[in-house]
Amino acid sequence: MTGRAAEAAQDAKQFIAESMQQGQMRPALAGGPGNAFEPHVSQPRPKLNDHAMAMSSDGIGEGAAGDGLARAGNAGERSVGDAAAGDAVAGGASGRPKQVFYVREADNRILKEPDIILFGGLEKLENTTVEELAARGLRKFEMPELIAGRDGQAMTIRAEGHPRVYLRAEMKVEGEVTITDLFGQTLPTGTGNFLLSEGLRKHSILPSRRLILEGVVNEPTIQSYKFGDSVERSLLGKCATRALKSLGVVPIKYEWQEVGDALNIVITTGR
Amino acid sequence: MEAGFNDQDLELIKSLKYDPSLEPNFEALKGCLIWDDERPMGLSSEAYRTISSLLVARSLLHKGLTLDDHPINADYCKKVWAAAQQQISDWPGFKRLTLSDEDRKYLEDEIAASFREDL
Repeated sequence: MTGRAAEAAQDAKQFIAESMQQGQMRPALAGGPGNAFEPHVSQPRPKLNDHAMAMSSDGIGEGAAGDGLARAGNAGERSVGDAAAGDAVAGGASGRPKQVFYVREADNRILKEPDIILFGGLEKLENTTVEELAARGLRKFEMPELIAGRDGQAMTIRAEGHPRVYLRAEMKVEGEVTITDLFGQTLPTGTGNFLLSEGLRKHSILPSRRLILEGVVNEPTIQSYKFGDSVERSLLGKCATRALKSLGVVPIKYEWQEVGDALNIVITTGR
Repeated sequence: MEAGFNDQDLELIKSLKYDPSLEPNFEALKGCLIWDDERPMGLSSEAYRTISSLLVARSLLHKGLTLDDHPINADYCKKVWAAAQQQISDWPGFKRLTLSDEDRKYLEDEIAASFREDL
């Protein structure tokens, strides 16, 4: 751990101790078991404890959709996570507020709920200068503008200023969306579900019947599959779940599906 | 076994020009490297899936494995590979069966990074 990181960790411990003494934080927030927090959305900004209460036991944020957003535009603007079931894709992404995350420099990972608490809460971060953030090993990251395109019948998404970011999706049947490609490594870790949900939103398509992640043969997923893990516990299963919830879509059933030499993740959905 | 290319797909694939100066990109779903000159825009869905199969198969070679090590269906994988070598033998992807040290490190780093709690 670097000196700065050690200082930040010390600050965080101090904050937790003080908060618990003042009754502002329930013990579960201090990293106890079953506390698999997800990133949260802050519009409208609830109290930190309210965020914690919105988290379901499976670690997928429900009330907050788990989009990893630290902040979305100005007060009063709607954020991704606020998307109600009835209008999740209405109007695409045009005019949507810029999405801002706080990123831990050490591992290029966006801060999630417990991390934000450790750093003193969202309001404190929002009132912190760039230099002060850097001193604590953090930086702000603004999600780039997503650019919708086509590849034949398929829909594509690229990110401005990130030529290596790419999402490709097909929808041959209304409500059945197949994701064929997901490139995102120049974005901070934790933004994958955001890329997925906002990419679909940009094209105004909604996986209201099924979401399929096609050709999923990356090593961690194959390990999950071979070990008999449930889809929803896999890395991509969790990522997809967060994206669906952000879109106001309810995952109903998760399945592994072998097709030819491909392994697909199939999520039956509803609204 | 046919590789699943229609006439238009074959035209598109044959129009690809191998560019050795390109750098690879890591695709998260398949966990493999892809170069920009390997997939033309406008392929049919079936052809796109076939190319994806080839990319996964080639990734096995990049990792020092063989097609028999395919994690889902080695027989299917080998058939697609053989058929594609007949139909699209000039596909740029066939020219990258081995990796440079730099590209190998990139692939290894990306695979290692993929074992994380989040995307």
